[in-house]
Amino acid sequence: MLGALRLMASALCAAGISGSAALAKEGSLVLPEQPSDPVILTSASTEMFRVYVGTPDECCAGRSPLAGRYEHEGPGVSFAPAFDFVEGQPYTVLSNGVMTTFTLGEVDQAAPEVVAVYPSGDAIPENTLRFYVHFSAPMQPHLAEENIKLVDATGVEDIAAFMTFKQELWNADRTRLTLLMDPGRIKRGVAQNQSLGPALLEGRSYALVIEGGWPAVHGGQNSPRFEKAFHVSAPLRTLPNLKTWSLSEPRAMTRAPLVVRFDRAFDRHGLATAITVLDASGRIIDGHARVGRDQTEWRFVPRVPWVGNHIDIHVDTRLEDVAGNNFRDLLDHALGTAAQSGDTVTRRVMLAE
Amino acid sequence: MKPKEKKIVATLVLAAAMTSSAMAQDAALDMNFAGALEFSDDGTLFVGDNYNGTIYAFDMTGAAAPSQVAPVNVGGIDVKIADVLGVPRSALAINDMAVHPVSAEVFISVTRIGNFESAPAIVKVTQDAEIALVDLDEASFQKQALTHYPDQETTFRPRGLGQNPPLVRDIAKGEIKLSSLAIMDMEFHDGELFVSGVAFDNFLSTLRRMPFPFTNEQAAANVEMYHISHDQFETRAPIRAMSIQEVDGKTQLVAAYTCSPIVLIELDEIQDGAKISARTLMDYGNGQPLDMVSYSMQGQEMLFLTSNSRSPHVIPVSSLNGAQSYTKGDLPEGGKSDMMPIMPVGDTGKAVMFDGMSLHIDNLGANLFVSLTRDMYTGSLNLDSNFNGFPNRLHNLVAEFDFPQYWEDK
Repeated sequence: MLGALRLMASALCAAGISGSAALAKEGSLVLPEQPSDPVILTSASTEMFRVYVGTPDECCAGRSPLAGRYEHEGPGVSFAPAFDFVEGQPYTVLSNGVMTTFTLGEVDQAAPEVVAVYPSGDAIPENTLRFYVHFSAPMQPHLAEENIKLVDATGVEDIAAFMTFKQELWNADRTRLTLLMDPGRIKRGVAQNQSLGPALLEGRSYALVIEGGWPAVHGGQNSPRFEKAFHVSAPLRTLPNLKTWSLSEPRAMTRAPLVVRFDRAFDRHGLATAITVLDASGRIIDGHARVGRDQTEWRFVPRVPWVGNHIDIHVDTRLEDVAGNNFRDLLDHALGTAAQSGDTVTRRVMLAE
Repeated sequence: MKPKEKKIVATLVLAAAMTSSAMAQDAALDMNFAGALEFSDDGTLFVGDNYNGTIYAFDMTGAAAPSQVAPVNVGGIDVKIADVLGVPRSALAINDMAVHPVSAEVFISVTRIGNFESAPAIVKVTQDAEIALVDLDEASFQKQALTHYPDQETTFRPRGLGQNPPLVRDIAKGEIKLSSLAIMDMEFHDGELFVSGVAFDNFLSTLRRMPFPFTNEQAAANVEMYHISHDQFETRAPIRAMSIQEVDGKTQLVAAYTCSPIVLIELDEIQDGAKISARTLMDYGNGQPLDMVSYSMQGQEMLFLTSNSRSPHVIPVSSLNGAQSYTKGDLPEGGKSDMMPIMPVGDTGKAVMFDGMSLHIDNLGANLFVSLTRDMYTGSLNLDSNFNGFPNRLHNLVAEFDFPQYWEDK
């Protein structure tokens, strides 16, 4: 976003010269708003000024000023740098003993907005356990209950759809909120399930609504309304099974991606860490993984070409599908059902020649 | 003011100022990369642009000579150049360095990265150790496009290290375009510019010669040489560094290749379309040559050759007279590495002490080398000047002489 630029400027006094920050306050120093803008000193004084890379605490002993062209402009002086100012790079203007710093940068105090909701698919199972709501900026807490709603196709809100906790489930920088469907509505035979029924019913359509007006932590701006519509498919009531996954067979000595397609959507954030790829000698292969196709696909590109004739995929058995079923047991398994054992499940992939 | 507007203004200035100049033929400066540098004897600066496949010649003549050439020293020069260009050091790449033959100013070609764009720049360090951006928009210039400039898509094939998986650096090599080798080194000699590099769409090692002022004429010849340590004929890897010298009564190009043969090529052989077989005289050991500087030591012409992995090598030019040349079959079969008793082969030079690692080096007056030197201990990149006799900078070592008792006992 080159067009929208933020200007951050503050005047600082060098070596305790108090009051001379007035230079900038009077507006006699015009700072650039675009990378190609000059710096202009409009005061009648013909005092030269210099522009340096860095913040005032790095300035200016032993540093060289930026190369550029100085020109008299009316009663003042303008400085056009030989190369455009770089966005995000702090610069310091030194004039008459006063340092003024500025940084050109992309807008980061724009209104916050919802940037993603997971599961992201158009159809999600009836027993979906978790939603993740991602925001573009850190958000103010304790507003989820009043701002987030599950509504049916006629717009009627289900006020008992989500678990309510005293503590909202935010990530560290408060850009991701985890919403849990009330498990009592999902688990078969539990009181709420019997009295209210499942919040989501197979074959029907709903929307997750995040109301507008939710303020960000910084900047005082509010998010606009966001709506994620989805259709409800059959509940997932089988254990995930690696054998049902389809796997590509990348060619040895290439960095062709390993593409893993699941039989269902998995938990977006569980996928980030649950799957590892090991080489023939059992070492973890370093590489870049990406989740795609509405959390039904995992792609992995190794940092260095595949070697050997096979690789092994290890999956943490705690990885859950979107309904909270993991490789050991179903979310609503019957009491006394024996869970599967083991921390990981594995599958071998032969590399193509 | 947008850069585009700036360029138009500069063009008008040029057009007005240069109608009488020999360099007036090209209007707009469209240089995209400032790589290899070379000066003519009177101060025309040649700049190799591997992005455009073009050589630019900037008129830097008319500079005043200092009454005496002074050593120039600038610590942390990469930071200082970055300061002038308005970026952090991490956004700067240094490409080459050359000393103005008259003013003794040190010219450095760099790439500046900012706002997701790279831009070429040339800075100079004056005799007073001041760093200034060279205003190329204000300089008269001429340009010469290279014939047979190779395609700009083909990249290196990463080879890794034997059976081990390749490292990140090996993989990164696979992203580098072969056309980045189009202009490796330039030598100005007797009204002509000689250029080494790769050319043609099958990426052959090529030597070019072109008259200056440029006339659009140029000759491009392919060079084959027998590589001693690889025990094979090579036609692709380009000449990394070169110098033009009188050897065996003929004007010859002394050329250094990676891993590290020294070959001779008679200038007369460099004709357009020729297939040259270079004469391989020596292989002084594994490594990649960086610069070859000729200088005079006590009246004797010497070549000073730097490498990215060896001490600098000093070769007397006279030692090349009558030297044996090697070809396939002259030596035991198979590759030869540093540790083999047969290596080095035919080496008439000496390795000399050099404090730190020189990235680029050139003569500064008659008695000094000026070098962009990486300090061993701090890692900083310094521009420093050293006496061109060896060893030098001995004071940077710790030895017997640093003990006060040594002097008391004297």
